[in-house]
Amino acid sequence: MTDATIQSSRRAAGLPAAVPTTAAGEPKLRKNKRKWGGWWFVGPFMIVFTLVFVAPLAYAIYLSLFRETLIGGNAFVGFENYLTALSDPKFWEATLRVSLFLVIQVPIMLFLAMFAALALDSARLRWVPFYRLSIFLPYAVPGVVAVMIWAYMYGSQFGLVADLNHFLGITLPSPLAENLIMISIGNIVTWEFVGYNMLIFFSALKAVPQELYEAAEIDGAGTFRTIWSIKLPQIRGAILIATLFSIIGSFQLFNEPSIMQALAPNAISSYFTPNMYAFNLSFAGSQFNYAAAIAIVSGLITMVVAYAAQIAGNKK
Amino acid sequence: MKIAKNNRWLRFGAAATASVVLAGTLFGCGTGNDAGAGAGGTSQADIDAAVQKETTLTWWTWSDGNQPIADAFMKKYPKIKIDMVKLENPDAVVTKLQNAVKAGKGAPDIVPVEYQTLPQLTMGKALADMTPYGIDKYKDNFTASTWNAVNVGGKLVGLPLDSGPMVMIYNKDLFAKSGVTEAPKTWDDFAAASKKIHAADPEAYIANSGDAGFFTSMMWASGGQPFKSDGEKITINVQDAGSKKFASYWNTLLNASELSPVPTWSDEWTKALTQDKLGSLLIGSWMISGMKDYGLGKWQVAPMPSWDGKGATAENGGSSLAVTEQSTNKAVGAALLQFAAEGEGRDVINANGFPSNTAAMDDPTWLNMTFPAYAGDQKANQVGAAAAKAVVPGWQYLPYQGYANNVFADSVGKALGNKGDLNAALIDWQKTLVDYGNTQGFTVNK
Repeated sequence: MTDATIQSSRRAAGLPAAVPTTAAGEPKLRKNKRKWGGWWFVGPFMIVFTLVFVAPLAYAIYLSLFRETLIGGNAFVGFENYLTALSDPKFWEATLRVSLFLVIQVPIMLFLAMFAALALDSARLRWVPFYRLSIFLPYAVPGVVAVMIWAYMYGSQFGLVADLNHFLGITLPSPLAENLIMISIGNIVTWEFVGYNMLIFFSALKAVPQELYEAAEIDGAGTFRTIWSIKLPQIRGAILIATLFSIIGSFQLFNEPSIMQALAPNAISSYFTPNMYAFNLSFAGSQFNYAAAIAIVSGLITMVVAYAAQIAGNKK
Repeated sequence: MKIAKNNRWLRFGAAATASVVLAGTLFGCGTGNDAGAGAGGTSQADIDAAVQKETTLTWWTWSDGNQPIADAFMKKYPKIKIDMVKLENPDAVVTKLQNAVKAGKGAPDIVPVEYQTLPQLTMGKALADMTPYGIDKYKDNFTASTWNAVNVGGKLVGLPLDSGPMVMIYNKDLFAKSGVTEAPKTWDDFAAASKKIHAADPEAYIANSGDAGFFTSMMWASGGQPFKSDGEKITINVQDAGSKKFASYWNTLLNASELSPVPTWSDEWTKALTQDKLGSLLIGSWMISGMKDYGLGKWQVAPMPSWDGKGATAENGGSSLAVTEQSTNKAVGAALLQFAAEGEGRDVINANGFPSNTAAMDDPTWLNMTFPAYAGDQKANQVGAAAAKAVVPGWQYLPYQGYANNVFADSVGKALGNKGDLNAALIDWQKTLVDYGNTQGFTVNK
């Protein structure tokens, strides 16, 4: 910050202008003071940030450079774990699975969320708070409970699917079978997170300046033209944020398949998603080092994809 | 000069080591030498002294059946306080214990350990060898198969708690309704009964397809010995005669769509049992007392079917009580194991699960017990006691059975779900296990 900007911001804040300094030693002293004083404000954050983010990450990287085996102890192996990960078909199968999930489930979910947000914002609905709450409610249901609810419905022996089969005299394919399990999980995730994304979109729509709508009306724009030319461009930032969250969420898919495993153990493998693979490697296979490498590679992939999405989103 | 000095130190070190070893041997013999009293001693006097000191033991468990044992022990030794920490299931206890071992601290003093995980935790140096405390003298109090399970690689790493000699618990009403009037004695009978049940009601099955624990026990009962380990040397052969015989047999039922897809312990599984859609459980005898949750008066316990009708079974589940290597109160732990091995403590254990001790199995009160779940006031424990004597000897679990069971669904489970080739899937499973073992430093199939 230059002296001039400080002075102007002081004036803007209604503070008296700082006395200009003339002596040679004084400004240096003041500069130092200013520099360290800032740490009191960012310090608490930096400490927490270091403890819960930097330190675990550094530890994971450190772990990933070793290999500890049940017999033979611990040894430094350099990047060997990473090389293994890059040529591990299980890891790539898991990554491919969540990538597919990303390109299919995320657009559907965001489209539904956008539809709901635009409907709530259209001023044609009554009881908007009621609908807003109802759509958001699944997000407030704990993941475990959500999966239990859906598991009951998916049950092909005694659940809703079984009841439908009896009632209609047909045999529906089991949603818990290997070929349909991903769609079933996508359905649960969509149900859970539509409300959350809807809320992001809805709050962004509420912040669109009223003047734009008035101007559009004067220009003779209809409802859909207003959506296309005003609402969507105005909330692009929110759409980008929701997309980034969804990308990260897809790559980190863990809770739903992990809980569903008790109901469909033969359809959900131990390496169903990269996160599940890392979890099972470390906690069932004691391969903490390799799991750390998997987690870091998977984190990097997520970062690259999310960053690419951000660049693409900002370009337009 | 320098060399001489080093030599002197070396010699001193050797002498010190020798005396420690000697002292250890003396205490180990249980001479009751008072000089050994204290935290490190292992004689009976040390154990007796330890329980008279104010001590708090931490005990992790997944089972409600452990609390009565702890209560009885605290009543007998009022200076001992036991903190019971309940975790959701056996896997959670194993995971948490392994993390504590890795961290070098934080392990409890006492843990129940499933028989199938004993080799894994012993290899991981999580459990203390209780031989120096003289626990090995209780050998004859327990059934052969459970005592064999707690002795891993020459170490006594636990005391048998409950046990699970496999029996067949079947729904007598469903069997009768389908025209099966007596319990199948051979696997051929079982297959015939399966056909009848599924034909009478297409939604009813004789059994569900099963999980890793079920599969390994069934291989065991068929005379298979797919896992052989001798220290770090392991041989895996999931296609030995017994294992292959079972897998091929199960494949026939699977391909005929005669096995229910419901996973064991799931909500649907419970419904299948209560609504007469699942005809039998091939399961450890600990389930005998648990059947009341699935309907009263309709169940019956029978010996496991066998290949030749002469009776052969396996252990399925069951657990032991172990003292951890990290525990600083091993002498108190030893006192707990002594308490659990006979007398009052044993009676508490026998009242809370299917026992592993021979005293209970000869006890007329226990043998003649009746249960509301079983038709005709069947004395169900007698079938379980007979099964305990018919367990095929020689079975071993892998020193990484937890991992093996965890990845079972990736290959064999997948085949069970898709009605695929079980033998091919077993070979897949074996490949994963061989690779894993070799990367972990074992010598597998070499």
